[in-house]
Amino acid sequence: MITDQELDHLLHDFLSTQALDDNHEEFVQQVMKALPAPSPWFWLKEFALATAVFVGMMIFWNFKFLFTTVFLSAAAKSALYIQIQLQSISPQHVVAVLLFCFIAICYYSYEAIMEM
Amino acid sequence: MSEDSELLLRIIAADDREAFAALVKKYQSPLRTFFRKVCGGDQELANDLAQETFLKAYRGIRSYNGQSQLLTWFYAIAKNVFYEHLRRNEKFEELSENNSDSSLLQDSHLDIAKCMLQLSAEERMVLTLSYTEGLSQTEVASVLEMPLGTVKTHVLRAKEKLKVLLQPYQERSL
Repeated sequence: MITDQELDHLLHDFLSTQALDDNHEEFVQQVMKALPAPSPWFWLKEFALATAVFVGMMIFWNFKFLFTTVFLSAAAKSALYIQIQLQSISPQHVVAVLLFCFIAICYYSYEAIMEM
Repeated sequence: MSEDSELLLRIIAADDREAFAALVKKYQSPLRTFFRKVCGGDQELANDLAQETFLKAYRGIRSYNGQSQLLTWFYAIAKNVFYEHLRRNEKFEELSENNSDSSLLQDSHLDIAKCMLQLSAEERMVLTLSYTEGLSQTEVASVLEMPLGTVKTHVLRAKEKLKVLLQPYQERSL
């Protein structure tokens, strides 16, 4: 019967990853073709949000609103960036950051409304 | 910032297709190799399953939490794709044996590829991932969502089975 060492050698030889570059360009093209078409909503959503924020600022022209909106937007993007970059931040951390931003905007909004 | 993180950020933030193509190009080799091994050398099937894996990864890219290597995450998706394939196609064993491209394999590799097909799907995957460069047994356990002890048991059992299955081929070559 085949020995442990021989089997190990055989398996290692057979299963170890060798660079597989045959037709890889063709494979990449096939995958890219199979992807769903880019959604027009992707940018429309960002655009709609930016418009809403702009209109909001125009209506309630207020520096606190302006500051908070910029802060919120930056915090949301940063949370995403930090999550990916550090690769150690859990979704719970991101939720906590967003929750903090939400509380901050509620507080500033309340203050702004009371001042008007 | 690592290259992968930068590509991921571009995909998530701007739906950048070129960034995704770069990821596919980088990881196609280990994934296609994995599927070839677990599918008994069937190249066409391996490519189809690898493509399905990348499509699922694209759709679920926001669910990648960055706590494991990106390759480990791809393997975890690949495992699910493979199980789905097995469920869809109960006659997989016969099909894959018939479709194996034996001209690409050495004799010893052909023997072991045939024997591998007689192992259970779990044993095949555990063995393939355990011998894959760059993956620790803890990562294999995480990919397959199994306790580390179970992974070790599967490896031992699969190797015992292979010893018996390879016996006739060894006698023939003597």
